[in-house]
Amino acid sequence: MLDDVSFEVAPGEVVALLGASGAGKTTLFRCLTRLAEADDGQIYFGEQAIRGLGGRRLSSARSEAGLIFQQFNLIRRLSALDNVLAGRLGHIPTWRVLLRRFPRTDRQLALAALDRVGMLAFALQRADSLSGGQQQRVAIARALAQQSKFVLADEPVASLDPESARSVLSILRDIARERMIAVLVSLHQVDLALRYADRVIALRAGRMIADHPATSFAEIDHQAIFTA
Amino acid sequence: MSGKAEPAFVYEDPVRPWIGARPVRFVAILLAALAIYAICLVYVDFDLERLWSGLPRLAHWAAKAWPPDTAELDILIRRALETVAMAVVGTTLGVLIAAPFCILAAQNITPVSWLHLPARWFLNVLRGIDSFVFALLFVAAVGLGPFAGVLGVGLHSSGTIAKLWSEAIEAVEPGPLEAAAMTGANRLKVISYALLPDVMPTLASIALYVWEFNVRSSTVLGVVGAGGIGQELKNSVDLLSFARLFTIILIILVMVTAIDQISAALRRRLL
Repeated sequence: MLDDVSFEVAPGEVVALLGASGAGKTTLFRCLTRLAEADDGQIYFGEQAIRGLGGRRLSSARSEAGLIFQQFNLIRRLSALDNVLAGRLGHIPTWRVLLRRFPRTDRQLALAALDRVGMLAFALQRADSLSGGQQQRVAIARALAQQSKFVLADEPVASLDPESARSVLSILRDIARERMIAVLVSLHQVDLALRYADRVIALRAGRMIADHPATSFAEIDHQAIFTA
Repeated sequence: MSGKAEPAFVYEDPVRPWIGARPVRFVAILLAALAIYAICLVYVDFDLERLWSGLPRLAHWAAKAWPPDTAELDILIRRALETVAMAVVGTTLGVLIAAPFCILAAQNITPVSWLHLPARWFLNVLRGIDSFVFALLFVAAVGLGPFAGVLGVGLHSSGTIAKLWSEAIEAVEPGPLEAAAMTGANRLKVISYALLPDVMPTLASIALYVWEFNVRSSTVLGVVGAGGIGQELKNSVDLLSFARLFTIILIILVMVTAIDQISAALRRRLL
């Protein structure tokens, strides 16, 4: 499915991954988080090699990356705040989770994250009562609360209206700059990629066919990516 | 002139063969079904003549059942409440046993993946043995009375509840659980923080439904001496006191209808 895909994302950089449906974007994301296994090669989060890890060490390595999904994957019946607190689950003892007693520092972190994405006013609203754009902002807040240095966003705006899509992508770009987070975001709209990403990587049938600054993206690339 | 224009093209109705495309197979299946019916009718001694000759006796009893005997109404109502209590405690027992098993038996969250099938088989055994049969055993083991009934109801419903619960858990969207696990949360954290809030209303609704079912099935447990209104039911039949039997049946109907309504109302509010 994927073959010879190799790239780096620097701290503070937003890299857009472009490709038609079936080009291998989602497979690549699943490999990066080890939800799927690559046959060969290596994945690094900073210095940490991810392939070959197991159990507790894999779990702790995974918690270094904040994930954003197309379908948001919030816990529907919990409030926005509780969903952001989910980003702290890896950092606190199990008994605290069972009793829902998050330490004050974690609660502060979660509220700050909600504030950063402009969702503080909705803190106690149930996730399933929020609009798609709002839910995705809560999901970003969850990644922020995780204090991850890497954010992997798989088609984060594919289910959103254009307005919400722009707001979600600009938040992602801004937090990358502010907190020196490396952001990898897959998209299928070239205009959004060019507007919000620093660099563009293109996949076609599992192979990398382009990797260059967003500024030097040309019409020829567009055709190579999307024409069958 | 009718004023209707002739259509330019007339479709021919497609012909449907009346016994399908393979008539021989159809007839064979039909004959096999009829044969099975015939065998079953012989096995159960189906005999309309006996029903016919028994009808006068039934009519005689029915006549004697009116007016209903309300002399012991307070005792009968207490026994009916005993039946409801047996269902409440028995179902609670079932819930407590089911809780760990439904986690084991749910394919998507079981901590030991090879255990999920054996767990399922064990639950099928519990579910396959009726409360009535369990109660029979427990009356012999712990003596007559509602406690034996509670144990029977508890064991049988634990199998039913755990099976329905594990199916509800397996039907949960995997995305949010995956997302929670990816933040570095262990299984227990994922179950308690991401899974339970999502499925809790469904689980509670299932428990209520089983409770409602248990009220109905508990009415007969007294027949084997396991407490509740069934005990009075059996006494009345044994003594041929049909007026009292009629009262008991009325009480059961009122009780079961009331419980059904309460349970349905509660479940509507949950979901």
